[in-house]
Amino acid sequence: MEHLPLPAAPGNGAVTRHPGTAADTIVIGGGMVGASIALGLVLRGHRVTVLDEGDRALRAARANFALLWVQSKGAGAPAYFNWSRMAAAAWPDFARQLEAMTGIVLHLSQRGGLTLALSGAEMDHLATRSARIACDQGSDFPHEMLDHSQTRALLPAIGPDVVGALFSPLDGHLNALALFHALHRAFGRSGGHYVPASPVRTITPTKKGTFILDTPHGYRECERVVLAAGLDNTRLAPMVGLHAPITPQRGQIMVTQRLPPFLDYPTNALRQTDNGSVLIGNSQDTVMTRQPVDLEIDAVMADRAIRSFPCLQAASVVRSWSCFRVKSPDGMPVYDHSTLWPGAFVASCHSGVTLAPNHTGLVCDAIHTGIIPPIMQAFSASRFTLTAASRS
Amino acid sequence: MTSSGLPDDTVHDVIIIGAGPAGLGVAAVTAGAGLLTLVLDENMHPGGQIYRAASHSPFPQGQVLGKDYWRKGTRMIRRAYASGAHIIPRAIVWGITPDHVVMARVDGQPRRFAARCVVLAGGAMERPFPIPGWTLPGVMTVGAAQTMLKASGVVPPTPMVIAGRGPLIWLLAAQYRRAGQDIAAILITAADRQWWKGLAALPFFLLSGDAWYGLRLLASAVMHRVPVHRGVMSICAEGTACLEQVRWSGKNGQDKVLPARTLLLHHGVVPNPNLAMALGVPHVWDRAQASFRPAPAGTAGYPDGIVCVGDAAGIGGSRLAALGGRMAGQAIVAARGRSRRNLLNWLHSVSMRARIALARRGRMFVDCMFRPASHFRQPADETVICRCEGVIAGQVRSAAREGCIGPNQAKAFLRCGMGPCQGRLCGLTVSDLIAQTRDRDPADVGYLNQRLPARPATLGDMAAMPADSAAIRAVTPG
Amino acid sequence: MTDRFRFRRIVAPAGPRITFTLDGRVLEARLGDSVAVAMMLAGYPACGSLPPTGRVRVPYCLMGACHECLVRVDGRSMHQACLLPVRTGMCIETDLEGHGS
Repeated sequence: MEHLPLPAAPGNGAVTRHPGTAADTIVIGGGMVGASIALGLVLRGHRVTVLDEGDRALRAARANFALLWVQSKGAGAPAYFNWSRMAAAAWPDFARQLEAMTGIVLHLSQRGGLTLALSGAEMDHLATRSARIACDQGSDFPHEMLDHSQTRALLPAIGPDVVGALFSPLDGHLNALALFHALHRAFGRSGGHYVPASPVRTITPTKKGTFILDTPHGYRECERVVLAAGLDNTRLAPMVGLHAPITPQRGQIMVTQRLPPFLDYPTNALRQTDNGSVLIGNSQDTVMTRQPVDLEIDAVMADRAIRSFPCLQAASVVRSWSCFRVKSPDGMPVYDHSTLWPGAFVASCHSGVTLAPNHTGLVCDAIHTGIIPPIMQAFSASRFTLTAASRS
Repeated sequence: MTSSGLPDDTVHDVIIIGAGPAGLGVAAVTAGAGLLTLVLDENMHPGGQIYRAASHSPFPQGQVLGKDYWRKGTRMIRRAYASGAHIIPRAIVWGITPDHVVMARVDGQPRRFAARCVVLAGGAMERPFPIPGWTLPGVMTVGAAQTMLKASGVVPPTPMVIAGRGPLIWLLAAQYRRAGQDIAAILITAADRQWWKGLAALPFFLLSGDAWYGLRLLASAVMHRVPVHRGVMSICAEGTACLEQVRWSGKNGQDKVLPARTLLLHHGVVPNPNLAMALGVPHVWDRAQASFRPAPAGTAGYPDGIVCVGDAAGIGGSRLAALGGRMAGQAIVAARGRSRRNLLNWLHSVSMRARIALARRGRMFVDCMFRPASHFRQPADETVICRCEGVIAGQVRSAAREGCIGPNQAKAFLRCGMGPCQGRLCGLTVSDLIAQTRDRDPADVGYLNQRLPARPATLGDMAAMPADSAAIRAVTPG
Repeated sequence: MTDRFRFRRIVAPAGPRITFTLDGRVLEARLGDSVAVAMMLAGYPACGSLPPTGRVRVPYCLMGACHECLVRVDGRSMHQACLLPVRTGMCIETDLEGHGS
């Protein structure tokens, strides 16, 4: 399928509006998902306003680990694997266009990525999961299970505790903060309107088919509304006949001082960024009472990082932070449009970086035309409400 | 876990972080009342910045540095030791857990110390003073010059120019005069407000005991015959590989150039916010001092068992810090049911309260006198404001115009505040620039989010922390 | 660069004479000085350079705030030279071009 994520290469940032399609669209949420969708819509000629929260919002986009990751997505859910793989394939073009529009370098690298195993059990877990994905894909899942010495051939700095690794050439990473900035800048330069400190209290559908949004700065009316509010989608969705069951899942990250390059490929838990610092973090917990940065979780992550790469023992951590992933019950994204109130659309997912080209591309096509294409139909929230019987 | 940490099973009644006037004030009271008290300080000797090395000064008997420094400093340090408090210098604290385990690196070794209550007495740091060229070798702070003078008897190369605003400038000038060190010029920057607006607080200042000291400093500088230029509107450090000259202009806008190998900058001091903020202590914007400081104790959201005292809780100077430290110490003793209730104690606490109230009101005069003009806090576009990441003021302004309403979105876009200093040298400037560009109050703009570790800590040190099974489950796959 | 950065001691030093190494050079210091002050007195105040501009870092605040004086000490990075007492035989490395890592 020939798919350009952005409808036209806008060159110097000027954008031609499609005549007759000007719509008054509001995107709720200025994170990675909201900014991607807002950009796609403004490039399709919509008059788009993004309503965002304030500076201290729970903003997963600012806490991102910045992987373009396919190898772990959708065991038992081939649609999610395909969706992620499609996004990864669209990334080189997408990055080029975004860099041309904004002058911001994204440091995209898609040479493949690894998941390291520090025990036989972890290796078995990786092998089982990969076999399942390969089976779903009719063996079309480029990946390799590597033993210790094969892993060391790719990553010479690994320690003796590394049993082996899963490698997939589909994976990569980039500078996610540069991406976040670029999406906002491209949106602004293309004529989009960004309103921060504007959390939406309620959305009220009207009889004439519009929506009225109640914000601290007054009411706003629009023809289309896109819910990209992360965890807040759960609260907003029912107001427009949608359903977005999201549970927050805390993830914590540490970043080290800048180090000389020693890591040629990203791993799922540790990667070296374009400026030399090392990001460490793959924790998942749902304990909301823990501190913003839990030193015990940092301790376990530091221990695993040193076992993976002993050269990191003396490296200094300059910052650590945590944020909440936007997770649905099955871990897959939720994209849906409201049948009750046409013009309302919801988008929730925790892979805002990997999936950005899809959000700016196909998802915006779906919002623009009101038709959900087959490749996205598996992500309807109806999967959580339908019984097994009615699904068959 | 990598095993290099020495678990210290002792649970202290109080751990105090910082051995300046406030911290030692707390320690003298709590240890004196029999509470198991531990003081952790990152410097080589107790005394804080003001009484740095007072017990180990290379100048005998207060020569050069002043009798006040020597007498008060040694007395304060002696008292703290005599009270039975355990003082550990060279302890760099990088984290505190919710159950008050203090994580530190002492003499290069990771250590942890448990406590029932933790007092943050980390004092102040000098306000960021971003001018063009302030990253050139040869440019330092007035505080830096004082530090090397006190601890090692060292002075920087001449010719030397001192620039800025604040009492510390006059103190250093007086000390340099006694040491025979030449100062080419003192450039006093323009004030934010006219000094007479602080006149209402002048009587309190005159009564507070700081006034006489301040007048002596000023007189000393006059006797030094140093050229002093007032109303300075711009300062620029120039040179290729290092500082060669200082370009400045006065009210008439005319540029003047002074050859210099050393430029010492100072725009007053502000609370060092990182540790308190990272622990979740709520902060408020202090309009008079143009900085953020911890909200008063008892404010909603204050973490349990954490107390902020001294300049770390809002700038008041050493006298207020020492008084506040003793008050905080008494509150801790009382909370443990160890205080004796009698008339004498009551009278003592009433008199202390009165002296604190007086000193606070007097401070308003100082705040008004010395608040730097806003154009120094919001520098021109091409000035580097984040030294670690090389971010310039213009980038922050354009991010603010792009929709960044606070420093955290700006940090994500520009990396300002992401370096090893963790925003200490750009945080206030970023907030000020966004406030200026978006025409908001810094109180609404807020400050960079702070998280532990509050100091860089090695992965090895962090791995040496104990972790519970939930933490292990949160990270281990499968 | 030694002459340009001639920091002077104006009082008889208290501590005994010791030696330490800075990027392989053997330098003299006095016990009781911080690493930062020892480097400045020896005429080598540069602690490293900052990417991407390559700006040279020198001690700025000497009070633990600015983190400009980070050096590698005995193999461990990110020591604040202003907070660290210099000791006999200490091996200090900067990250200047051609030195250390």
